[in-house]
Amino acid sequence: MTTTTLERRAKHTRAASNNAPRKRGANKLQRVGLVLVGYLLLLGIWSYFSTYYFTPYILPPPWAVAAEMWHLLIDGTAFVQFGASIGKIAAGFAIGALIGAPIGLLMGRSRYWKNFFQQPMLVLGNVPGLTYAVFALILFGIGAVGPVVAVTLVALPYVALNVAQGVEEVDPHLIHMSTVYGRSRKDVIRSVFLPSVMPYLFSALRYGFAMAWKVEALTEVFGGRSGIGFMIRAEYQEFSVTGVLAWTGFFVLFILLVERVFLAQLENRIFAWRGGR
Amino acid sequence: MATVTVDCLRKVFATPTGPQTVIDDISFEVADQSFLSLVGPSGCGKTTLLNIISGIEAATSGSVEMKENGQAAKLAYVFQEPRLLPWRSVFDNLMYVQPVQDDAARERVTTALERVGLAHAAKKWPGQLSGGQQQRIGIARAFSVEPDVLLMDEPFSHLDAITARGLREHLQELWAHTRKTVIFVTHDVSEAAELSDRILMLAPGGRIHEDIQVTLPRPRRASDPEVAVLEASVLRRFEDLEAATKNQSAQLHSQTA
Repeated sequence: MTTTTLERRAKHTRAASNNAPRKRGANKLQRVGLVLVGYLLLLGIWSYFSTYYFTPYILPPPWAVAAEMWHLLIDGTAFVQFGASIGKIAAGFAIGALIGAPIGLLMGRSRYWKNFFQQPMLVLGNVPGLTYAVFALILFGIGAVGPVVAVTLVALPYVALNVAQGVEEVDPHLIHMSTVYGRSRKDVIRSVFLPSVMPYLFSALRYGFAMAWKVEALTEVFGGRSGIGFMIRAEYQEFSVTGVLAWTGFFVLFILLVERVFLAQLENRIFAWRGGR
Repeated sequence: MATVTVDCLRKVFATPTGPQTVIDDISFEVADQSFLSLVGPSGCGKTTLLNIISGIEAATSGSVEMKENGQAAKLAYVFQEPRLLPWRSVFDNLMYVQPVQDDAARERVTTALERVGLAHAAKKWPGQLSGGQQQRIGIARAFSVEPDVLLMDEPFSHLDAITARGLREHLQELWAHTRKTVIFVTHDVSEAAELSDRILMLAPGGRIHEDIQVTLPRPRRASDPEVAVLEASVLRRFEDLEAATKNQSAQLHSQTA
């Protein structure tokens, strides 16, 4: 009787392991299906209100916005304006990270520097994006410098505070282990500090980038000569809600692309070791 | 010829209630190719002593000398926890501690993994292994650098009894094969009786209470009658030590009261 039970259990385990890939595939399909249903629901609500409650002049339907986006893609305007915005964000974020990372390193390693920088970083991080946009316009006028400075100021505290936390979280046991085995300072930085800080740096990249995009677009709305924010303002001045929504659509699509495709893949690759048990 | 000489070692920690002596004027020598165990109740300074020997902590006074044929001895340490880099594969964890990253090092690493029976796990992440397997990787890492002196700090204390027994037997085989000079910290008297050539019993306050020579034949098992007799004898002395410590602290308490 025991043998029969064991055989039955073994058969059940084998069947379960054979079914595992099929089950995983079904789960993934279900997840994708749910996401699609969510998007369709959103588009349905939008279509309903644009058809029955508002005129297309006030709230154009999704298909009109999609047509406008297609038109902007075909004539190349979307790429030119996106290029302008991305360039400014990349420059601002790079400067913010270059200044923020060493500050974070100092804060994480020394209590003195932590006390010195913590409050200014918290203040910088809590200033509303709108304030940065307005000040950038007042200080630098209309042009590319204002958005770059605004993005720098948004990115800097995110990077500094996250790197500081990452450095503080480095496991001292791993440093002791490295010391006992005679590893050099360079080895410890490369093999212990950097990988420990990486999740925090990644988190700074993810949230800092999302914030930087919003502030950059806002700054362009007030004082840009190019970029998505500038185009949203231009369409607004022409009372083209379709145009405003088309550019907003590009904005959302780009954020989704960066978040769900680029960053997610990068994260999977860098943090493959977390996928263990 | 790897020997360890500990001379008049003291360690005093500054605490809010005043200085606290953890190691009090300890001197001993560990002979080449011998297996020395440090046993004692919790808080008697075993781990601190090992950390000072390894250079992780500095002594308040006294000295530690580790020599291999007149030169500084090469050291390896097996910690209580495996202390593996979670973002490096098992193989790369072992490569990380190699002084030179050449073919000879790769061969040493492969051999060390084979010896602990985990060659098949070389490409895995540490997080994919069980606690026992991770500790075996920690042991393989220590042996892979071919040290002159091996320090071990309660390496099996976090493991279940069966895994710990298997690893103890494995350690005996490795030690018989390589004959490293070992200093092994444990609070498990049975473990000390099974593995050691010599047992140093530390008393609270960081003094050497007793120096016990172990001459039982190898290989040994915890279940061997001679090992059991030795264990009982050490345990009795351990209990006497604890009783004496309790009496002392009670007397001290009544004097201050």
